[in-house]
Amino acid sequence: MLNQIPRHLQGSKNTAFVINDKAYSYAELGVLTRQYYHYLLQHTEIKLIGISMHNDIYTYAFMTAVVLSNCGYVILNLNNPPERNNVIAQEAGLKHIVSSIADDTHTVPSFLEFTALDTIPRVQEPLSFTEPDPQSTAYILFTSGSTGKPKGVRITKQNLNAMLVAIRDIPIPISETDKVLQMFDLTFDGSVLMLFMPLCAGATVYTIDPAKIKYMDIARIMVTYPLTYVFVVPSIISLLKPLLALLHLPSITTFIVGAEATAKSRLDTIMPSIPNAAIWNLYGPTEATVCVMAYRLDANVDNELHNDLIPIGKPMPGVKHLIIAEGNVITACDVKGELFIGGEQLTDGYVNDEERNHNEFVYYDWNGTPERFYATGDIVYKNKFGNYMYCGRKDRQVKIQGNRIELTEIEYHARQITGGQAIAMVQDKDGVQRLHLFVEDYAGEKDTITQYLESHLPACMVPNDIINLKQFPATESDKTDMRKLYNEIGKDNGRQNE
Amino acid sequence: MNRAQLLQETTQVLIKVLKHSNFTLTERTTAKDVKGWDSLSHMVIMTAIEKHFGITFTLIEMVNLTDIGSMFDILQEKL
Repeated sequence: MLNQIPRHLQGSKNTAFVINDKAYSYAELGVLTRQYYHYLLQHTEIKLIGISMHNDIYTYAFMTAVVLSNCGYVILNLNNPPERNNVIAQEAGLKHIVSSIADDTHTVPSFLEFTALDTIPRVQEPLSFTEPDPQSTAYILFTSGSTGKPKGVRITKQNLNAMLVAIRDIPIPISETDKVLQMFDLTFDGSVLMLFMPLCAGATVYTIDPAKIKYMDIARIMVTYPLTYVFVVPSIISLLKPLLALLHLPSITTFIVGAEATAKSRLDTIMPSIPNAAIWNLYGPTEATVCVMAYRLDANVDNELHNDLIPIGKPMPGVKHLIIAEGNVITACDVKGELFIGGEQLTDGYVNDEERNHNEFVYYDWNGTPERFYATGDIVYKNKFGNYMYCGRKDRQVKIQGNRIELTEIEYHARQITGGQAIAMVQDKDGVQRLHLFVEDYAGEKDTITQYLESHLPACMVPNDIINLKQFPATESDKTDMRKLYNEIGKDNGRQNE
Repeated sequence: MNRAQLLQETTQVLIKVLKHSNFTLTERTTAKDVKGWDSLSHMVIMTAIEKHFGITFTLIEMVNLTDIGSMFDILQEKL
Protein backbone atom coordinates (compact mmCIF):
# COMPACT_ATOMS: atom_id res chain seq x y z
CA MET A 1 0.00 0.00 0.00
CA LEU A 2 2.74 2.48 0.94
CA ASN A 3 4.19 1.89 -2.52
CA GLN A 4 1.12 3.68 -3.92
CA ILE A 5 2.33 6.98 -2.48
CA PRO A 6 5.19 7.62 -4.98
CA ARG A 7 2.71 7.27 -7.88
CA HIS A 8 0.78 10.28 -6.56
CA LEU A 9 3.96 12.22 -5.89
CA GLN A 10 4.94 11.97 -9.57
CA GLY A 11 3.33 15.29 -10.36
CA SER A 12 -0.36 14.96 -9.63
CA LYS A 13 -2.04 18.37 -9.48
CA ASN A 14 -4.49 17.00 -6.94
CA THR A 15 -4.26 18.64 -3.53
CA ALA A 16 -2.37 16.58 -0.97
CA PHE A 17 -2.73 18.83 2.07
CA VAL A 18 -4.72 21.82 3.19
CA ILE A 19 -2.89 23.33 6.17
CA ASN A 20 -4.15 26.53 7.79
CA ASP A 21 -6.23 27.15 4.63
CA LYS A 22 -3.25 26.84 2.29
CA ALA A 23 -3.38 24.05 -0.30
CA TYR A 24 -0.33 21.99 -1.33
CA SER A 25 -0.44 19.74 -4.40
CA TYR A 26 0.97 16.23 -4.56
CA ALA A 27 3.59 17.64 -6.93
CA GLU A 28 4.71 20.11 -4.23
CA LEU A 29 4.67 17.38 -1.59
CA GLY A 30 6.66 15.21 -4.03
CA VAL A 31 9.46 17.76 -4.41
CA LEU A 32 9.96 17.96 -0.65
CA THR A 33 9.53 14.24 -0.07
CA ARG A 34 12.18 13.43 -2.70
CA GLN A 35 14.54 15.98 -1.14
CA TYR A 36 14.19 14.39 2.30
CA TYR A 37 14.23 10.84 0.93
CA HIS A 38 17.52 11.66 -0.80
CA TYR A 39 18.87 12.95 2.52
CA LEU A 40 17.92 9.69 4.21
CA LEU A 41 19.56 7.71 1.37
CA GLN A 42 22.73 9.73 1.99
CA HIS A 43 22.57 8.90 5.70
CA THR A 44 21.86 5.17 5.77
CA GLU A 45 23.42 5.04 9.24
CA ILE A 46 20.28 6.79 10.53
CA LYS A 47 17.82 3.98 11.20
CA LEU A 48 15.61 6.06 13.45
CA ILE A 49 15.07 9.81 13.45
CA GLY A 50 13.24 12.20 15.72
CA ILE A 51 10.80 14.67 14.18
CA SER A 52 9.72 17.74 16.10
CA MET A 53 5.93 17.94 15.91
CA HIS A 54 4.67 20.80 13.74
CA ASN A 55 1.67 21.34 11.50
CA ASP A 56 3.34 22.20 8.21
CA ILE A 57 4.05 20.65 4.82
CA TYR A 58 7.74 20.14 5.63
CA THR A 59 6.97 17.95 8.63
CA TYR A 60 4.41 15.88 6.70
CA ALA A 61 6.80 15.52 3.74
CA PHE A 62 9.56 14.31 6.06
CA MET A 63 7.24 11.77 7.69
CA THR A 64 6.31 10.57 4.19
CA ALA A 65 9.96 10.29 3.17
CA VAL A 66 10.69 8.27 6.32
CA VAL A 67 7.97 5.67 5.75
CA LEU A 68 9.14 5.26 2.14
CA SER A 69 12.74 4.71 3.30
CA ASN A 70 14.49 2.20 5.56
CA CYS A 71 14.38 4.73 8.41
CA GLY A 72 11.73 5.09 11.12
CA TYR A 73 10.48 8.13 13.02
CA VAL A 74 9.76 9.14 16.59
CA ILE A 75 7.64 12.26 17.04
CA LEU A 76 8.68 14.61 19.84
CA ASN A 77 6.21 17.25 21.01
CA LEU A 78 8.39 20.03 22.38
CA ASN A 79 5.42 21.42 24.31
CA ASN A 80 5.69 18.36 26.54
CA PRO A 81 8.04 18.49 29.53
CA PRO A 82 11.73 18.34 28.46
CA GLU A 83 12.33 15.51 30.93
CA ARG A 84 9.72 13.36 29.21
CA ASN A 85 11.17 14.09 25.77
CA ASN A 86 14.62 13.18 27.10
CA VAL A 87 13.32 9.84 28.37
CA ILE A 88 11.57 9.11 25.07
CA ALA A 89 14.66 9.99 23.02
CA GLN A 90 16.87 7.86 25.28
CA GLU A 91 14.51 4.89 25.35
CA ALA A 92 14.12 4.95 21.58
CA GLY A 93 17.90 5.24 21.10
CA LEU A 94 17.54 8.44 19.09
CA LYS A 95 20.67 10.26 17.98
CA HIS A 96 19.24 12.66 15.39
CA ILE A 97 16.27 14.96 15.17
CA VAL A 98 14.90 17.19 12.42
CA SER A 99 12.54 20.12 12.63
CA SER A 100 10.85 22.58 10.31
CA ILE A 101 11.58 25.28 12.92
CA ALA A 102 15.27 26.15 13.26
CA ASP A 103 14.74 27.58 16.76
CA ASP A 104 13.82 24.11 18.02
CA THR A 105 17.55 23.48 18.25
CA HIS A 106 17.38 25.16 21.68
CA THR A 107 14.58 22.96 23.04
CA VAL A 108 15.24 19.46 21.68
CA PRO A 109 17.09 17.05 24.00
CA SER A 110 20.65 18.33 24.06
CA PHE A 111 22.26 14.99 23.21
CA LEU A 112 20.49 14.84 19.81
CA GLU A 113 22.12 16.04 16.61
CA PHE A 114 19.78 18.69 15.21
CA THR A 115 19.05 19.33 11.54
CA ALA A 116 16.74 22.10 10.38
CA LEU A 117 14.71 20.85 7.42
CA ASP A 118 15.40 24.00 5.41
CA THR A 119 19.12 23.18 5.43
CA ILE A 120 18.60 19.86 3.64
CA PRO A 121 19.80 20.37 0.06
CA ARG A 122 17.39 20.27 -2.86
CA VAL A 123 17.66 17.31 -5.24
CA GLN A 124 18.67 18.11 -8.80
CA GLU A 125 18.58 14.65 -10.37
CA PRO A 126 15.40 12.59 -10.85
CA LEU A 127 14.95 10.17 -7.98
CA SER A 128 12.90 7.03 -7.76
CA PHE A 129 11.72 5.34 -4.60
CA THR A 130 12.68 1.75 -3.89
CA GLU A 131 10.67 -0.55 -1.62
CA PRO A 132 11.90 -0.32 1.97
CA ASP A 133 12.88 -3.34 4.06
CA PRO A 134 9.54 -4.56 5.48
CA GLN A 135 11.23 -5.24 8.82
CA SER A 136 12.59 -1.71 9.12
CA THR A 137 10.97 0.56 11.67
CA ALA A 138 8.13 2.77 10.42
CA TYR A 139 7.71 4.58 13.72
CA ILE A 140 8.05 4.17 17.47
CA LEU A 141 5.12 5.56 19.37
CA PHE A 142 5.28 6.18 23.11
CA THR A 143 2.25 5.57 25.29
CA SER A 144 1.68 6.08 28.98
CA GLY A 145 3.46 3.49 31.13
CA SER A 146 2.21 2.18 34.46
CA THR A 147 5.67 2.38 36.10
CA GLY A 148 6.00 6.13 35.59
CA LYS A 149 7.95 5.82 32.35
CA PRO A 150 6.41 6.00 28.86
CA LYS A 151 6.69 2.79 26.85
CA GLY A 152 7.72 2.72 23.21
CA VAL A 153 5.91 0.52 20.70
CA ARG A 154 7.92 -0.26 17.54
CA ILE A 155 5.86 -0.60 14.38
CA THR A 156 7.52 -1.87 11.20
CA LYS A 157 6.76 -1.07 7.57
CA GLN A 158 5.26 -4.55 7.34
CA ASN A 159 2.94 -3.83 10.30
CA LEU A 160 1.89 -0.51 8.79
CA ASN A 161 1.31 -1.98 5.33
CA ALA A 162 -0.74 -4.82 6.79
CA MET A 163 -3.02 -2.33 8.56
CA LEU A 164 -3.49 -0.20 5.43
CA VAL A 165 -4.26 -3.31 3.34
CA ALA A 166 -6.76 -4.53 5.96
CA ILE A 167 -8.58 -1.16 6.00
CA ARG A 168 -8.76 -1.29 2.19
CA ASP A 169 -10.08 -4.85 2.25
CA ILE A 170 -12.79 -4.38 4.91
CA PRO A 171 -13.53 -2.30 2.80
CA ILE A 172 -13.69 1.27 4.03
CA PRO A 173 -13.37 2.87 0.61
CA ILE A 174 -11.29 5.97 -0.04
CA SER A 175 -10.30 7.54 -3.35
CA GLU A 176 -8.43 10.53 -4.70
CA THR A 177 -11.62 12.60 -4.63
CA ASP A 178 -11.93 12.23 -0.85
CA LYS A 179 -11.34 15.15 1.50
CA VAL A 180 -10.08 13.76 4.76
CA LEU A 181 -9.89 15.28 8.25
CA GLN A 182 -6.69 14.55 10.22
CA MET A 183 -7.37 15.69 13.79
CA PHE A 184 -4.90 13.56 15.73
CA ASP A 185 -1.70 14.71 17.38
CA LEU A 186 1.26 13.17 15.58
CA THR A 187 2.26 11.48 18.85
CA PHE A 188 -1.02 9.53 18.64
CA ASP A 189 -1.32 6.63 16.21
CA GLY A 190 -4.66 7.77 14.78
CA SER A 191 -2.49 10.23 12.83
CA VAL A 192 -0.69 7.35 11.11
CA LEU A 193 -3.97 6.10 9.65
CA MET A 194 -5.30 9.53 8.73
CA LEU A 195 -2.10 10.64 7.02
CA PHE A 196 -0.88 7.59 5.16
CA MET A 197 -4.22 6.07 4.16
CA PRO A 198 -5.24 9.25 2.24
CA LEU A 199 -1.74 9.62 0.76
CA CYS A 200 -1.90 6.03 -0.53
CA ALA A 201 -5.21 6.88 -2.22
CA GLY A 202 -4.18 10.31 -3.53
CA ALA A 203 -6.83 12.01 -1.39
CA THR A 204 -6.63 15.43 0.28
CA VAL A 205 -5.73 15.73 3.97
CA TYR A 206 -7.07 18.66 6.03
CA THR A 207 -5.07 19.18 9.19
CA ILE A 208 -6.06 21.14 12.25
CA ASP A 209 -4.12 23.95 13.86
CA PRO A 210 -2.66 22.79 17.20
CA ALA A 211 -2.58 26.39 18.41
CA LYS A 212 -6.37 26.49 18.50
CA ILE A 213 -9.03 24.80 20.61
CA LYS A 214 -9.14 21.47 18.81
CA TYR A 215 -12.85 20.90 18.44
CA MET A 216 -13.45 24.51 17.36
CA ASP A 217 -10.91 24.15 14.57
CA ILE A 218 -12.52 20.84 13.58
CA ALA A 219 -15.88 22.66 13.38
CA ARG A 220 -14.27 25.47 11.37
CA ILE A 221 -12.82 23.02 8.82
CA MET A 222 -16.12 21.13 8.66
CA VAL A 223 -18.12 24.26 7.82
CA THR A 224 -15.47 25.70 5.49
CA TYR A 225 -14.65 22.65 3.35
CA PRO A 226 -16.83 19.86 1.93
CA LEU A 227 -15.10 17.09 3.86
CA THR A 228 -16.06 13.55 2.87
CA TYR A 229 -14.06 11.39 5.25
CA VAL A 230 -13.84 12.12 8.96
CA PHE A 231 -12.40 10.22 11.94
CA VAL A 232 -12.93 11.72 15.40
CA VAL A 233 -12.72 10.46 18.96
CA PRO A 234 -16.20 10.28 20.52
CA SER A 235 -15.43 12.99 23.08
CA ILE A 236 -15.13 15.46 20.19
CA ILE A 237 -18.79 14.75 19.44
CA SER A 238 -19.64 15.63 23.04
CA LEU A 239 -17.62 18.84 22.87
CA LEU A 240 -19.31 19.77 19.58
CA LYS A 241 -22.74 19.18 21.08
CA PRO A 242 -23.65 22.90 21.53
CA LEU A 243 -22.86 23.45 17.83
CA LEU A 244 -24.42 20.30 16.36
CA ALA A 245 -27.84 21.85 15.72
CA LEU A 246 -26.08 24.35 13.44
CA LEU A 247 -23.82 21.83 11.69
CA HIS A 248 -25.20 20.35 8.47
CA LEU A 249 -22.57 18.18 6.81
CA PRO A 250 -24.14 16.30 3.90
CA SER A 251 -20.80 15.91 2.10
CA ILE A 252 -19.47 13.48 4.72
CA THR A 253 -19.86 9.94 3.37
CA THR A 254 -17.53 8.15 5.82
CA PHE A 255 -17.64 9.03 9.50
CA ILE A 256 -15.38 7.03 11.78
CA VAL A 257 -15.23 7.04 15.56
CA GLY A 258 -12.67 5.22 17.67
CA ALA A 259 -9.82 5.39 20.18
CA GLU A 260 -12.41 5.45 22.99
CA ALA A 261 -15.51 3.43 23.80
CA THR A 262 -18.40 4.81 21.77
CA ALA A 263 -21.84 5.28 23.30
CA LYS A 264 -24.82 5.06 20.96
CA SER A 265 -26.48 8.01 22.70
CA ARG A 266 -23.46 10.11 21.83
CA LEU A 267 -23.58 9.06 18.16
CA ASP A 268 -27.30 9.84 18.07
CA THR A 269 -26.53 13.50 18.69
CA ILE A 270 -24.43 13.87 15.54
CA MET A 271 -26.35 11.59 13.17
CA PRO A 272 -28.78 14.32 11.97
CA SER A 273 -25.74 16.43 10.98
CA ILE A 274 -24.23 13.68 8.80
CA PRO A 275 -27.24 12.27 6.93
CA ASN A 276 -25.23 10.68 4.10
CA ALA A 277 -22.46 9.06 6.14
CA ALA A 278 -21.65 5.42 6.66
CA ILE A 279 -20.68 5.33 10.34
CA TRP A 280 -17.80 3.11 11.49
CA ASN A 281 -16.35 2.25 14.87
CA LEU A 282 -12.65 1.32 14.78
CA TYR A 283 -10.97 -0.48 17.64
CA GLY A 284 -7.36 -1.38 18.22
CA PRO A 285 -4.33 -1.05 20.46
CA THR A 286 -1.18 0.80 19.40
CA GLU A 287 0.62 -2.55 19.75
CA ALA A 288 -1.32 -3.90 16.75
CA THR A 289 -0.94 -0.82 14.53
CA VAL A 290 -3.86 1.54 15.13
CA CYS A 291 -6.90 -0.65 14.52
CA VAL A 292 -7.77 -4.34 14.32
CA MET A 293 -11.57 -4.42 14.45
CA ALA A 294 -14.22 -2.50 12.57
CA TYR A 295 -17.95 -2.17 12.94
CA ARG A 296 -20.29 -0.47 10.51
CA LEU A 297 -23.34 0.92 12.22
CA ASP A 298 -26.52 -0.69 10.91
CA ALA A 299 -30.21 -0.94 11.74
CA ASN A 300 -29.55 -3.77 14.20
CA VAL A 301 -27.32 -1.68 16.46
CA ASP A 302 -29.94 -1.12 19.15
CA ASN A 303 -30.16 -4.91 19.66
CA GLU A 304 -26.43 -5.15 20.29
CA LEU A 305 -25.65 -2.36 22.76
CA HIS A 306 -23.71 -3.16 25.92
CA ASN A 307 -24.23 -0.43 28.54
CA ASP A 308 -25.08 1.86 25.62
CA LEU A 309 -21.75 1.06 23.90
CA ILE A 310 -21.88 0.08 20.24
CA PRO A 311 -19.97 -3.04 19.06
CA ILE A 312 -16.28 -2.81 18.22
CA GLY A 313 -17.18 -5.19 15.41
CA LYS A 314 -15.38 -7.98 13.64
CA PRO A 315 -11.64 -8.55 13.20
CA MET A 316 -10.16 -6.85 10.15
CA PRO A 317 -8.75 -9.12 7.42
CA GLY A 318 -5.58 -10.91 8.58
CA VAL A 319 -6.12 -10.16 12.27
CA LYS A 320 -5.89 -13.15 14.65
CA HIS A 321 -8.04 -12.89 17.74
CA LEU A 322 -8.82 -14.87 20.88
CA ILE A 323 -10.86 -14.32 24.01
CA ILE A 324 -9.10 -15.80 27.02
CA ALA A 325 -10.61 -16.30 30.48
CA GLU A 326 -8.59 -17.96 33.25
CA GLY A 327 -6.18 -19.36 30.68
CA ASN A 328 -8.88 -20.93 28.52
CA VAL A 329 -9.88 -19.92 25.04
CA ILE A 330 -13.53 -18.87 24.98
CA THR A 331 -15.49 -19.84 21.90
CA ALA A 332 -19.04 -19.44 23.21
CA CYS A 333 -21.05 -16.28 22.64
CA ASP A 334 -21.70 -13.79 25.43
CA VAL A 335 -18.85 -15.06 27.67
CA LYS A 336 -16.47 -12.34 28.79
CA GLY A 337 -12.69 -12.60 28.72
CA GLU A 338 -9.56 -10.68 27.79
CA LEU A 339 -8.99 -9.96 24.11
CA PHE A 340 -5.74 -11.23 22.62
CA ILE A 341 -4.61 -9.99 19.22
CA GLY A 342 -2.12 -11.50 16.76
CA GLY A 343 -1.25 -11.34 13.07
CA GLU A 344 0.83 -9.27 10.72
CA GLN A 345 -0.09 -5.96 12.35
CA LEU A 346 1.36 -7.03 15.71
CA THR A 347 4.44 -5.15 16.98
CA ASP A 348 7.57 -7.12 17.76
CA GLY A 349 7.46 -5.49 21.18
CA TYR A 350 8.28 -2.54 23.39
CA VAL A 351 11.72 -0.99 23.08
CA ASN A 352 14.04 -1.73 26.01
CA ASP A 353 11.47 -3.61 28.06
CA GLU A 354 12.06 -7.35 28.02
CA GLU A 355 9.99 -7.91 31.15
CA ARG A 356 6.92 -6.30 29.66
CA ASN A 357 7.50 -8.09 26.34
CA HIS A 358 7.59 -11.36 28.22
CA ASN A 359 4.42 -10.64 30.19
CA GLU A 360 2.22 -9.02 27.57
CA PHE A 361 3.04 -11.12 24.51
CA VAL A 362 2.21 -14.80 24.75
CA TYR A 363 1.88 -17.78 22.45
CA TYR A 364 -1.42 -19.57 21.86
CA ASP A 365 -2.46 -22.16 19.37
CA TRP A 366 -3.97 -20.73 16.18
CA ASN A 367 -5.27 -23.34 13.74
CA GLY A 368 -2.71 -25.90 14.95
CA THR A 369 0.37 -23.68 15.06
CA PRO A 370 1.71 -21.54 17.89
CA GLU A 371 1.03 -17.87 17.26
CA ARG A 372 2.22 -14.80 19.16
CA PHE A 373 -0.56 -12.71 20.69
CA TYR A 374 -0.74 -9.41 22.58
CA ALA A 375 -2.78 -9.36 25.78
CA THR A 376 -4.76 -6.15 25.25
CA GLY A 377 -6.12 -5.84 28.81
CA ASP A 378 -9.53 -5.14 27.23
CA ILE A 379 -12.44 -7.22 28.47
CA VAL A 380 -14.76 -8.22 25.64
CA TYR A 381 -17.33 -10.80 24.59
CA LYS A 382 -18.59 -11.91 21.21
CA ASN A 383 -22.33 -11.47 20.72
CA LYS A 384 -24.69 -13.73 18.78
CA PHE A 385 -24.30 -11.54 15.71
CA GLY A 386 -20.55 -12.25 15.65
CA ASN A 387 -19.58 -8.78 16.81
CA TYR A 388 -17.10 -8.15 19.60
CA MET A 389 -18.39 -6.00 22.44
CA TYR A 390 -16.11 -3.89 24.67
CA CYS A 391 -16.88 -4.16 28.40
CA GLY A 392 -14.00 -2.32 30.07
CA ARG A 393 -10.40 -2.75 31.19
CA LYS A 394 -8.84 -5.34 33.47
CA ASP A 395 -6.40 -2.70 34.75
CA ARG A 396 -6.55 1.04 35.36
CA GLN A 397 -5.74 2.25 31.88
CA VAL A 398 -8.17 4.94 30.69
CA LYS A 399 -8.82 6.97 27.56
CA ILE A 400 -9.17 10.74 27.91
CA GLN A 401 -10.14 12.57 24.74
CA GLY A 402 -8.68 9.53 22.94
CA ASN A 403 -5.33 9.66 24.77
CA ARG A 404 -4.33 6.35 26.35
CA ILE A 405 -3.34 6.99 29.94
CA GLU A 406 -2.17 4.78 32.78
CA LEU A 407 -3.60 6.31 35.96
CA THR A 408 -0.75 4.68 37.86
CA GLU A 409 1.75 6.83 35.93
CA ILE A 410 0.04 10.01 37.16
CA GLU A 411 -0.11 8.61 40.70
CA TYR A 412 3.59 7.69 40.55
CA HIS A 413 4.57 11.28 39.75
CA ALA A 414 2.09 12.74 42.27
CA ARG A 415 3.63 10.62 45.03
CA GLN A 416 7.08 12.01 44.20
CA ILE A 417 5.90 15.46 45.30
CA THR A 418 3.35 14.66 48.02
CA GLY A 419 5.20 11.79 49.66
CA GLY A 420 1.82 10.27 50.49
CA GLN A 421 -1.02 8.43 48.83
CA ALA A 422 -2.36 9.62 45.48
CA ILE A 423 -5.22 8.21 43.44
CA ALA A 424 -6.21 9.40 39.99
CA MET A 425 -9.75 8.95 38.70
CA VAL A 426 -11.71 9.82 35.61
CA GLN A 427 -15.21 11.23 35.65
CA ASP A 428 -17.34 11.17 32.52
CA LYS A 429 -19.49 14.27 32.50
CA ASP A 430 -21.83 14.62 29.51
CA GLY A 431 -19.50 12.49 27.43
CA VAL A 432 -16.38 14.49 28.25
CA GLN A 433 -13.76 12.94 30.52
CA ARG A 434 -12.23 14.92 33.36
CA LEU A 435 -9.21 13.79 35.30
CA HIS A 436 -9.22 14.13 39.09
CA LEU A 437 -6.39 13.47 41.54
CA PHE A 438 -6.97 12.65 45.20
CA VAL A 439 -4.16 13.24 47.67
CA GLU A 440 -4.22 12.37 51.35
CA ASP A 441 -3.43 14.84 54.11
CA TYR A 442 -1.14 16.94 51.95
CA ALA A 443 0.19 19.97 53.81
CA GLY A 444 1.37 21.91 50.75
CA GLU A 445 -0.44 23.92 48.10
CA LYS A 446 -2.35 22.12 45.36
CA ASP A 447 -0.64 24.37 42.79
CA THR A 448 2.70 22.86 43.80
CA ILE A 449 1.43 19.41 42.78
CA THR A 450 -0.01 20.77 39.53
CA GLN A 451 3.23 22.54 38.65
CA TYR A 452 5.24 19.39 39.38
CA LEU A 453 2.94 17.26 37.22
CA GLU A 454 3.04 19.85 34.42
CA SER A 455 6.81 19.60 34.41
CA HIS A 456 6.78 15.80 34.16
CA LEU A 457 3.70 14.82 32.17
CA PRO A 458 2.01 15.82 28.89
CA ALA A 459 -0.88 18.26 29.29
CA CYS A 460 -3.49 15.54 28.71
CA MET A 461 -2.23 13.72 31.84
CA VAL A 462 -2.37 16.69 34.20
CA PRO A 463 -5.50 16.44 36.41
CA ASN A 464 -8.28 18.99 35.95
CA ASP A 465 -8.47 19.29 39.72
CA ILE A 466 -6.85 18.03 42.88
CA ILE A 467 -8.85 16.95 45.89
CA ASN A 468 -7.02 16.91 49.21
CA LEU A 469 -8.65 14.74 51.89
CA LYS A 470 -7.60 14.40 55.50
CA GLN A 471 -8.03 10.66 55.16
CA PHE A 472 -9.11 8.44 52.29
CA PRO A 473 -12.38 6.56 52.96
CA ALA A 474 -11.84 2.85 53.61
CA THR A 475 -13.88 -0.29 53.00
CA GLU A 476 -14.51 -2.84 55.75
CA SER A 477 -11.41 -4.68 54.59
CA ASP A 478 -9.36 -1.49 54.98
CA LYS A 479 -8.89 -0.94 51.27
CA THR A 480 -9.47 2.53 49.85
CA ASP A 481 -13.17 2.85 49.11
CA MET A 482 -12.99 3.96 45.47
CA ARG A 483 -16.75 4.49 45.22
CA LYS A 484 -16.80 6.89 48.17
CA LEU A 485 -13.72 8.59 46.80
CA TYR A 486 -15.46 9.06 43.44
CA ASN A 487 -18.40 10.66 45.23
CA GLU A 488 -16.06 13.36 46.56
CA ILE A 489 -15.64 14.72 43.02
CA GLY A 490 -17.35 18.06 42.64
CA LYS A 491 -17.70 18.73 46.36
CA ASP A 492 -16.21 21.90 47.78
CA ASN A 493 -12.76 20.67 48.61
CA GLY A 494 -11.24 24.06 49.26
CA ARG A 495 -12.53 23.64 52.80
CA GLN A 496 -10.74 20.31 53.17
CA ASN A 497 -7.50 21.84 52.03
CA GLU A 498 -7.45 24.33 54.89
CA MET B 1 -18.02 50.29 23.74
CA ASN B 2 -14.36 50.93 23.03
CA ARG B 3 -11.72 48.20 22.97
CA ALA B 4 -10.16 49.20 26.28
CA GLN B 5 -13.53 48.71 27.95
CA LEU B 6 -14.02 45.40 26.13
CA LEU B 7 -10.62 44.28 27.39
CA GLN B 8 -11.46 45.21 30.96
CA GLU B 9 -14.87 43.53 30.96
CA THR B 10 -13.70 40.40 29.13
CA THR B 11 -10.92 40.06 31.68
CA GLN B 12 -13.51 40.11 34.47
CA VAL B 13 -15.62 37.45 32.69
CA LEU B 14 -12.58 35.20 32.33
CA ILE B 15 -11.57 35.66 35.98
CA LYS B 16 -15.08 34.65 37.04
CA VAL B 17 -15.20 31.53 34.85
CA LEU B 18 -11.60 30.37 35.34
CA LYS B 19 -11.45 31.34 39.03
CA HIS B 20 -7.99 32.88 38.71
CA SER B 21 -6.42 36.08 37.45
CA ASN B 22 -2.99 34.80 36.49
CA PHE B 23 -3.14 36.26 32.99
CA THR B 24 -2.88 39.57 31.21
CA LEU B 25 -5.32 39.83 28.38
CA THR B 26 -4.28 41.61 25.17
CA GLU B 27 -5.80 41.67 21.70
CA ARG B 28 -3.22 39.05 20.64
CA THR B 29 -4.08 36.64 23.45
CA THR B 30 -5.34 33.21 22.37
CA ALA B 31 -6.91 30.46 24.45
CA LYS B 32 -3.56 28.67 24.66
CA ASP B 33 -2.08 31.68 26.49
CA VAL B 34 -4.52 31.47 29.40
CA LYS B 35 -4.23 28.71 31.99
CA GLY B 36 -7.44 26.72 32.19
CA TRP B 37 -8.85 27.95 28.86
CA ASP B 38 -9.09 24.61 27.11
CA SER B 39 -11.57 22.36 25.29
CA LEU B 40 -13.48 21.73 28.51
CA SER B 41 -13.89 25.38 29.50
CA HIS B 42 -14.12 27.02 26.05
CA MET B 43 -17.88 26.80 25.57
CA VAL B 44 -18.50 27.94 29.16
CA ILE B 45 -16.34 31.00 28.48
CA MET B 46 -18.07 31.76 25.18
CA THR B 47 -21.51 31.43 26.78
CA ALA B 48 -20.44 33.70 29.66
CA ILE B 49 -19.20 36.32 27.18
CA GLU B 50 -22.45 36.12 25.20
CA LYS B 51 -24.45 36.55 28.40
CA HIS B 52 -22.31 39.38 29.75
CA PHE B 53 -22.52 41.46 26.55
CA GLY B 54 -26.07 40.36 25.68
CA ILE B 55 -25.13 39.08 22.22
CA THR B 56 -25.07 35.73 20.40
CA PHE B 57 -22.22 34.51 18.22
CA THR B 58 -23.16 32.74 14.99
CA LEU B 59 -21.52 29.39 14.23
CA ILE B 60 -19.31 30.97 11.56
CA GLU B 61 -18.23 33.74 13.93
CA MET B 62 -17.52 31.32 16.74
CA VAL B 63 -15.37 28.89 14.73
CA ASN B 64 -13.37 31.66 13.06
CA LEU B 65 -12.26 33.38 16.27
CA THR B 66 -8.49 33.44 16.29
CA ASP B 67 -7.64 35.67 19.24
CA ILE B 68 -9.20 38.17 21.66
CA GLY B 69 -8.89 40.95 19.06
CA SER B 70 -10.93 38.99 16.50
CA MET B 71 -13.62 38.54 19.15
CA PHE B 72 -13.63 42.28 19.86
CA ASP B 73 -14.18 42.97 16.14
CA ILE B 74 -17.39 40.95 16.32
CA LEU B 75 -18.45 42.39 19.68
CA GLN B 76 -18.03 45.95 18.38
CA GLU B 77 -20.22 45.13 15.38
CA LYS B 78 -22.94 43.75 17.61
CA LEU B 79 -22.88 46.22 20.48
